[in-house]
Amino acid sequence: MAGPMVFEEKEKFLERLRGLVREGVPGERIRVITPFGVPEVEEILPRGRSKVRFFALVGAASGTVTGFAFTILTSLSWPLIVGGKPIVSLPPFLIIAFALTILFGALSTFAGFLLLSRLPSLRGIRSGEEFGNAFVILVEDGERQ
Amino acid sequence: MTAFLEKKWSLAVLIAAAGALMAFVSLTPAPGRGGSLLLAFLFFVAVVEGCIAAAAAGATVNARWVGSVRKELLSVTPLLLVASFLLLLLIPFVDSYPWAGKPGIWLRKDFFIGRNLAFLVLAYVTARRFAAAPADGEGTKSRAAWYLLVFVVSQTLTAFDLVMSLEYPWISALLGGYFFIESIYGGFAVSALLCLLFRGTPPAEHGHGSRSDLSDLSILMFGFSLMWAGLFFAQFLTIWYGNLPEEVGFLARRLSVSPLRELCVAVLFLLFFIPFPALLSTRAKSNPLVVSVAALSILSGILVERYVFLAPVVRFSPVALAIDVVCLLVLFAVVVYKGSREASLEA
Repeated sequence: MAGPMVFEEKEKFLERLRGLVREGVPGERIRVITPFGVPEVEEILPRGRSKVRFFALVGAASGTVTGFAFTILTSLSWPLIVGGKPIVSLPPFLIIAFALTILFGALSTFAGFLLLSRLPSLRGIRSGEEFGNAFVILVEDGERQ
Repeated sequence: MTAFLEKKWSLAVLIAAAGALMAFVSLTPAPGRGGSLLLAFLFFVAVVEGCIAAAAAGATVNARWVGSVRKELLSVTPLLLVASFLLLLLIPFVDSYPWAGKPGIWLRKDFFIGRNLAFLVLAYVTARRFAAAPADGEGTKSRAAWYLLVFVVSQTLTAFDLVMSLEYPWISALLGGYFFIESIYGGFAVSALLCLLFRGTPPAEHGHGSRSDLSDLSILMFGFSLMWAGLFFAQFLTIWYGNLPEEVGFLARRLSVSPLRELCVAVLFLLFFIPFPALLSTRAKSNPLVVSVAALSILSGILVERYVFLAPVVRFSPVALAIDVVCLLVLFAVVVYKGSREASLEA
C-alpha cells in the first residue's frame, strides 16, 4: 500500500479522490478515512450492491419454512379438531409463518450486517493509524489500469 | 379534436353529454341498468377520490414525486361532481336494497342518499380548496389533511352503505378501511401511469439519492400491495375462523360458484400476487413495462373486486355497463389531458 494522502480540507480531499478515479485507479483499491460521513465519496466511489440482502432472503425464507413446519408438525403430533377445522389449516398457520419470516429475516439481516461490516472485531473497524480530523486516502498496491 | 379540447367550455359540454347519455341509459326501465351504474360508480369514485388522496398524502409529507404529477392528479377534481350526479341517478336503484321499505334510522332512503351525497360534495369542496392552494404554499398541508379526512369518511360510507348494506344484515367493521386503502392504492397506480405518460421513462439511476419519481411511486405501490394483503387477510381469517352463518354466507356465495370463485382468485393475483413480486427488485421499480403492468393489474383488480362484491345480489346489463365505463373513461382522459396541458403551459 502506498503512503496515505492526508488532507486537512474536505474539498482538496474530494478533488484528489476524483483525480485518482479519473487517472483510472480502480475504486476497489481506494480506501478513505474521514472524520465524519461524506456523501460525495459514495458518488465518486460507487460501491457494488451489498451482500446483506442475501442474508435477508435466506433468513426470511428459512423463517417461512420454519413457521409452516412448526405449526404443521405440532398439529399432526397432537391432532385436536378445533372449531370443526381440518387438522392442518393453512390460514391460521400463515400468521405464524409470516411472523417468523419477519423475525428470522430481521435477525439474519442484522447478523449479516455485523459480519460484513466486521463490527464484532474492534480491529476491523479501527484503522491502525490515528489521523484525527484529517481526510485520508489510501491506495492499495496493484497495477494501474 | 385537439382544437375542441382546447376550448374552455369543452369539458362542460362533454360532462353534460356524458351525463345525459348515462342518465338516459340508467333510467330506462330495463333489467340490470341500475346494477351496471352502481358498479361503474363504485370503481369511478374509488379511482377519482384515490387520485386526489394520493396527491394530498404526498403533499402532507413533502413527497418529491408529487411535483411531477400534481396538476394531472388534481385535474380530476370536477369529476367528483359527476360522481355526485351518478349517485342521484342511483336513487331509483336504492329501492332494490334488502332494507328498502322497512322502518329504520340509518338505513332510510332519503338519509342514505343524503349523507353519501353530502360527503361527495364535501370531498369536491375540500379537493378544490386543496387544488387551488400553491404546491408549497402556506396552508396547503392543512387543506390536504382536510381532504384526506373527508376522503376516508366518504369511502367508508361508500363501503358500508352502497356495498355492505346490499347484503344486510351482513356486517364487516373493516370494510370501510379496506375501501379507502384500496382507493388510495388505485390512486398511486394512476399516479405511476400518469408519471410514465407525461414524464416518460426516467433516466438510469446513478449514485446516492438519485431515485426517480417513478421509483418512489413503485415503492408506494409495493408497500400498499402488502397493506392490502394484510387487510384482506385480517377480514378473511376472522370470517373463516368464526364460521358464523351470518358472516360466512358472504364468502360462501362468492366462493362456491363459478365464475365468481375464479374471479376471487383473480382479485388476489391482480392486487397482490402480481404487483408484489413484480415490484420487488430495485431495477423493476423504474422499469416502465413492469410498473405499467403492476399499475394496470391494480386498477383491474379493483374493478373485478367491485364486480365480485355486487355480482351475487345485483343484476348487470353488459351494454349499459360498457356505455357507463366508456363515458367515465373519456371524461377521465379529457380532464387529465387538460390538466397536463395547463401544467405544460405553466412550465
